[in-house]
Amino acid sequence: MTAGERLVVARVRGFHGLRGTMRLESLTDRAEKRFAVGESLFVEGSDGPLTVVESEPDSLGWRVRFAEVTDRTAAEGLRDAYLEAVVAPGEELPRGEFYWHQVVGASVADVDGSVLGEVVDIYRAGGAEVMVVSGPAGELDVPLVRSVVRVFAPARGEIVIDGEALGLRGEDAAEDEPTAGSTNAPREPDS
Amino acid sequence: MSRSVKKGPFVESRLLGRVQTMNKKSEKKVVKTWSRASVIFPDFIGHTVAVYNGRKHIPVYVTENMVGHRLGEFSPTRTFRGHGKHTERSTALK
Repeated sequence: MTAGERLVVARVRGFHGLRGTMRLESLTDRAEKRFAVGESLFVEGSDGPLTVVESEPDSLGWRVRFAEVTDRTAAEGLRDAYLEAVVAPGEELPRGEFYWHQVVGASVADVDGSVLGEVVDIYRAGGAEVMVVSGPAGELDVPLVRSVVRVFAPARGEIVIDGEALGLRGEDAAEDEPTAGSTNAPREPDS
Repeated sequence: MSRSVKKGPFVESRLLGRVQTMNKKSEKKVVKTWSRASVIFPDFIGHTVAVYNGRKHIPVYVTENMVGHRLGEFSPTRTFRGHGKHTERSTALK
C-alpha cells in the first residue's frame, strides 16, 4: 500500500445527542490515531474532509463529532456511510505485515505441493486472523500462525501451509466427533 | 449460581490432555474441539484450537488475554460476510 491511498477506517452506525455526534464502528487497527482530535476523514466517494473535534471510545466502537457536521439532521444524512483516511507517508506497514485485501486472491498450496485453492476472505478469531481458502475440495479455514503457515508471501501471491499441522492429513485427520453419551454430544430433544 | 470454587473452572479433560501432551513434546498442531464451554487455561497460550460453531471448526489462536474466557466466545455462530471494502486492518503471522 503506497502513501496517499485511501482506506476505509469506520462506518457510521448511529448518532448521539443533537450536536451531530456519530457512533462509528471501527474498521481499523489504528483507531486511536485515526479518531484523534484534528485528524481528517473522508466520506467514501467524496473529497470534502471531515475534521475530528471530539472523540471517545464507546461500547459500539467510537463516538466522534466532526467540525463540518453541526447538527443531528446533517449527521443522519451520513447513516451507514463508510469513512476513509489517507495513508500518510511513513505510515506504511512494517515488513511482513499486510492489509487484509492484499492477502485475498493469493494462491494457497500444501507443503506436499498440492494446490488447496485461493484466499477468498479473511476474518479475525481470537488472537489471529483466519483465511478462508476456496478450492476444488471446498472451503477451508486456515489460521495465520507460524505453526501452520510455512511461506507467507501475499505480495507474490504465494502462501504455503503445513496440512499435517492443520489436521488435513496424518493421524489427526480423522478426528473423532463426540459420541452420544459424551458430555459434548448434542442433546436429544425431550419427548 | 456460580460454579463451586472447589471444582475449579470447567475444561474438557481430553482437550486439556492433548494440549498438555503437545506442550511436553514442544509441538503445535491445530486441535479440534466441540467443547465451546471449556475455559481457556494458561496451558493453551500459543496453541490454535479449532472450535466448532455448529457448522464448521473455527481456528482460534489463543493469546494471554483470552485466559479465563470460554472457547465458544471466539467462535461466532452467526454468518457475517464482511464489508467488502479495503479497510485499514492488517495481518502478520503470529
